[in-house]
Amino acid sequence: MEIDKNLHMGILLDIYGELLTERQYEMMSMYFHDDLSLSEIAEQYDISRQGVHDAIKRGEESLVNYDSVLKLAEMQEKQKEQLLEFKAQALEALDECRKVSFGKNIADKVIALLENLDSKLEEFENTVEN
Amino acid sequence: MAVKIRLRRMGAKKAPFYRIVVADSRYPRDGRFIEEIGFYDPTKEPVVLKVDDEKAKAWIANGAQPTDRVKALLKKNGTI
Repeated sequence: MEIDKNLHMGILLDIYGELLTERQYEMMSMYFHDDLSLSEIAEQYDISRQGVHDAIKRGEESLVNYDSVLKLAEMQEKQKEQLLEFKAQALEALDECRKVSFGKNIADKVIALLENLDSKLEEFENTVEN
Repeated sequence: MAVKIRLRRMGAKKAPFYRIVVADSRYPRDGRFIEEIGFYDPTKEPVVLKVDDEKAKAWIANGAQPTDRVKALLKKNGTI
């Protein structure tokens, strides 16, 4: 549960982070992206742990607020799902093309479409080097 | 010397990806870490979580402190 919440905040921070002040963004990035503890962050800024806690809480509220108005996180998720759906449809179309002898031109176009979809989907992909 | 096991965010804006690293808590921000012991990719379905159990256990036995988020992941993975 807690993991999911932090993960979600990390995603919101990616999307809306630039709307926060630089200092607030930095603190939140340390907390959500680099998994530092409140006291570790407090040490860096020479302020109290409570001060960091308040800043992060306020930042969370801002992020949630931006997202409730703009809903970009949800749209991003939907966009990915749609791209995957389009890709599945294009692959089906390509299969159909292969069955008919005069389908070469169509097949080429479908392949170009698939390449476009793949490059869009790449934005959502991680390359795991291990 | 306080040694911590924590997540470190990698990956692109639309693709969060975390490494699980062992790091000295005195140098939290400069990217230095002692060892990478696994990774966590929440974008995949199902979620990809890979941890080197041996190393994780050895570090914990030696007093390395996992953060709450890492602790939850290690539990999920059955390491601890």
